Amino acid sequence: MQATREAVSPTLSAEAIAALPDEALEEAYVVRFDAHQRIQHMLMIGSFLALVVTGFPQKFPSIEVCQWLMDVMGGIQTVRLVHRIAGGILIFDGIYHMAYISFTVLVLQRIGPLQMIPNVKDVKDAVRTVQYFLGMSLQPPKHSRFTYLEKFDYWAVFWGMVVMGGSGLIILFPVLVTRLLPGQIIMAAFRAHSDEALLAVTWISVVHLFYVHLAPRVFPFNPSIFSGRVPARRYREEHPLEYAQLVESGKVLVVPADGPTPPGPAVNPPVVVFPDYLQASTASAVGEEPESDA
Amino acid sequence: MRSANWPRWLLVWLAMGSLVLAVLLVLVRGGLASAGQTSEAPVSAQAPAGMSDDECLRCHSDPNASLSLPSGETISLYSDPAVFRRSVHGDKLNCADCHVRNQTVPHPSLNVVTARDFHRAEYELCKRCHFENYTRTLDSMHFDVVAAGNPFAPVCTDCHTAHSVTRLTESRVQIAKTCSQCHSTIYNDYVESVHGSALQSEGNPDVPVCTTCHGVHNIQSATTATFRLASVDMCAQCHANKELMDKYGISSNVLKTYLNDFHGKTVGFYQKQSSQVWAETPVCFDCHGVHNITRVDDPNSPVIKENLLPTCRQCHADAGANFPSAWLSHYEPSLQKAPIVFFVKEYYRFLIPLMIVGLIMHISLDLWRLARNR
Repeated sequence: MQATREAVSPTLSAEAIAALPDEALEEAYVVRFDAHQRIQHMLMIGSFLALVVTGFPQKFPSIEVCQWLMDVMGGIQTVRLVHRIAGGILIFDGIYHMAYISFTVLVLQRIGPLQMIPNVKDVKDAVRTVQYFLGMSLQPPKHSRFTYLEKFDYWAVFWGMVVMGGSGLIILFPVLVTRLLPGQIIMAAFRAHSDEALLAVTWISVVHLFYVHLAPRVFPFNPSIFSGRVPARRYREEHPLEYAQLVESGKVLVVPADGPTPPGPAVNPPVVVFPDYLQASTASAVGEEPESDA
Repeated sequence: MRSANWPRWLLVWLAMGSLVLAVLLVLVRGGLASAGQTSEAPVSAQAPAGMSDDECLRCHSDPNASLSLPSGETISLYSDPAVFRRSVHGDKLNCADCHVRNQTVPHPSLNVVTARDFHRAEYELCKRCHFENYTRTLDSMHFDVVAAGNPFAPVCTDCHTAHSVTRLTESRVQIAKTCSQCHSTIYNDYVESVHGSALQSEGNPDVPVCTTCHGVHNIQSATTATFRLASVDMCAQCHANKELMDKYGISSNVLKTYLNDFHGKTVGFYQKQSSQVWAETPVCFDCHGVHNITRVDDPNSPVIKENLLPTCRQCHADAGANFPSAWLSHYEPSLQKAPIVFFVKEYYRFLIPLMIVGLIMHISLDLWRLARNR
């Protein structure tokens, strides 16, 4: 904690950053995801893929590929066991995420995660975006930390986790559940688990894959969820409002170009990181200005 | 010197006599051998058999004719020709056609100890004509029982009889009766069941008899994983047949609804799997009963609402009162039958296409704008 607070000291002024050429911003980056978020996402990728591979042959048993997969993976008993273990990991991941959010908001008193809550601007942004697509508006809307699509992506997964985890547990423990709830719940959960899975996979394979990896600006692969970093230049385009805010409020870090990658696991909210030689070049550029002024 | 004293005519007669005797011996032996050969030829060739039925019946029409075996048992040697003539073989075969080894009198000695040995030796005669069905019995679980050391597992003649053979397919009632000779407990359950009682009372042609489910000559064990998994489709042969089920006002949707439900899904996977495993998951007869199966509205039915909980508890020991309604009783979810399930189903039926269309539109528009801006 201590180290982080120290690190986020204005070592480059907003003016100095504004004076940097666009090319320099390719080498600077924004730390968008901290270590917890990256671990959470990796747990999710792993368990999600395992769930899809073991789940889809169960949903579509008449498809030959699914039958083959089922056999290769050792039959329905093994497949179900792996599915349940992966489900357990994903549920744990969800709990981990909730604990992380709660800790950040309630204990650290940081409002960062709350920015994920949808607001009126998101609706306006969505409308503006469609207008822009259709040529009715010349500029796409300017986004803050989370675009409306990212929020949709997050909440879709959030909702999906609740439905899938909940319904999965219900059909895993039918005797226990029917102690409290009517029996029909079991079949409803069975149905929901199967259909929501289809929805989740469609969502991930279409929206998430396209907007995160396949879209022309990031194609073919966007590694930021693994590295935590997004190039500052792209960040300025995609999240201009947040970027400006970070620069204005001095959440900027200058690090030795060949030094270890800062910051540590607990960096949240994000910072913009500049290699130190960029600072040197701007310092001289900025330094010259007062002279000419004088 | 002494021979010279014998009259010449006597020597001539002796020589001629022994020559004739030698020729006769050769002829008789040759004749016997050729008789043996023809008897091994197919019966359809109607080879001149050695003995006529009349010759056989000279002894075998005596109701007291019997044979004592080394085991102390006595077997009857009596055969009623009238019974045989009424049998399915009556107009085709004579005694000697089957009993080929007994064409000489006295018959060759028997190498048997018990009566069962005798019957097990004699039934082999059937295979000369009925080779295919004989071979099938070698694949049956009855034969496995023999192989395991029990000689009393049925052979051809136990079910079909030896001499009064009838076409069993002519009488479905007779089929069940035949099996009941050994499987009497199961038979008693069966005749009380919805299937058996319909067979007994009205000779119903649609209900299954023993062989409908268990097969005929190559009867398989009903306690294997293979039989268990296949049993679902076995029941479905009739119960998924709309035409047949409509006749009795029964749903023909039962297989489909079963396979869509949690139990059936699992069984469906086991069926497709290459390695055979014992399915703990219930199949039709686990809930409905096996030979004692009743109508689903019978007060004693294990699947009627009042009796369902104990049925569930066979596997789900701790199941509570709400538990049985988790099973939709072979109904498709609908507003009346399972409204919650129905709403969930409809919700996704609406949401999934909406979502997919929305997403594809968003992406297409995005790409279109990108292309236009270049």
